[in-house]
Amino acid sequence: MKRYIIWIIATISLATSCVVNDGYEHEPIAIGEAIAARGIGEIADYTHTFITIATIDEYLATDDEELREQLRTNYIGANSKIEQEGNNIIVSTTYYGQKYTLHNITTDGKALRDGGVWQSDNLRLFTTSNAITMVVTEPNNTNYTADSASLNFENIEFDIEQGYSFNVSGSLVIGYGKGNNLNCEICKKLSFMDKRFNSGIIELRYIDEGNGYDDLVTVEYLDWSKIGISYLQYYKVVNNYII
Amino acid sequence: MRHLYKYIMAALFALVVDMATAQEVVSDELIRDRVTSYTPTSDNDVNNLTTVNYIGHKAEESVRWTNDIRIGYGAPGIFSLLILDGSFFFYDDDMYIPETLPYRVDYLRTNRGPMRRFMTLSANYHRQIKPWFALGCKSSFAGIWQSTFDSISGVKRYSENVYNVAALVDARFSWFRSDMVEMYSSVGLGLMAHIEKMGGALWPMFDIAAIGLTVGRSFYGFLEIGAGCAGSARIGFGFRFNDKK
Repeated sequence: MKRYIIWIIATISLATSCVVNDGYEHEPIAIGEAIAARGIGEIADYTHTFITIATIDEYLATDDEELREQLRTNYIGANSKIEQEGNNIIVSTTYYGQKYTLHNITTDGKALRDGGVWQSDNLRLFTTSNAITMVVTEPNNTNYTADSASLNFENIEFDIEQGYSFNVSGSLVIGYGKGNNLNCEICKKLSFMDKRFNSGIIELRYIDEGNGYDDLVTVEYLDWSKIGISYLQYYKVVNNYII
Repeated sequence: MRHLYKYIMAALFALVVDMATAQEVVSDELIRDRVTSYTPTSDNDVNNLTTVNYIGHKAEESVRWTNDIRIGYGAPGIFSLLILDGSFFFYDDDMYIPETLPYRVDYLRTNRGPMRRFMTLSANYHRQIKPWFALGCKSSFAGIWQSTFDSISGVKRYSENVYNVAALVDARFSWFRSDMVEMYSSVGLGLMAHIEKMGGALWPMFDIAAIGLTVGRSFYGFLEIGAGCAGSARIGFGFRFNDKK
């Protein structure tokens, strides 16, 4: 009988030694960081789209060939080409001998800085008092929330060395699925200077109705000139409300 | 793989236990003679060998036990692991960072408890057809259990329980037999059911014991090295018995 008991104990010992993975744990703050990083990235993407279009406007407004060349190579792309035919502006690039269209802009015949209305795919840009407004409208889709944005760019200044500086206000919505979207509201105007945001506060609300998530995250941009790190890192999550 | 050493140590421990409990002196003369190929030379010797048939001068070995039941436990093997949890070899939770925001938030919203894996329990029955050949059936069970919790509230959201259940026809070939020790190889073919909440599947399955060792008589312990649904290294115990006359 003794030997059977020993065998049973040996078998049970084996069976109970079978925890092969300790699992993992996440702190709630990591959720806020993930949402903040994505919201900041989306706002930065739209801002850089605006900068490209503003540069095209700058390029077409000047007759200075040297400035044009600097604008084209430094802000649009070394292999880029800007062509204007009537009310159409086509920005293209050549890659391994193949020509690719970057932007196809339809204008009302006026420069953007002179109150013109420019349209490119789902983008629409126009002047309102002392700001240029960029509206993004994606076609409605039954499967997901359509992307949309309305951003105002004020106090625009351009320096060939420092690039653009301006203030940004407005909001945007990034759709991931039906009832699943990220709403970004700029609460305190973002200050953009020397190719990065310098100050401002944005509020990010991430909603996922399917999983029952509704998270509110507030992000404050820090003074990059005092920190000196890349533009995606100089922010801090001020409040992280996980609802 | 981090716990592989546990299996090896436990298998060695089990083998030592079995060896230690198997130190009995061979007292059965009939068995001793059969094992040592003893050939009788006198009338007295012939009278003692009541159950051995002679063809010329060579003894024909008879089936000692007609039935064999055993229960074993196997360390994870490549085939059984791939079917039970195919991602085990290629997936590390710590390295996994989802790309899109919905997946990332969902990932960060959950904590996963420890993964418990039980593999592989097997139960076999064999019928000895010849002293060197037995035919029977082999069944095995393996499972993985892991729960997922909300990282904020701590409430359990769901459990991922995955099971493999196999049934095979198994042929066992014994190539060394003595009173206490038997060595063999076996091959089995059959089906394995993969069961989980999200669905399941039924696959053809095999099991091979490349080298098997039993120590004992009626009650015995065994150790096998093989591949297939019963795992890689298996240990266990069994019971041999004859039909009631």
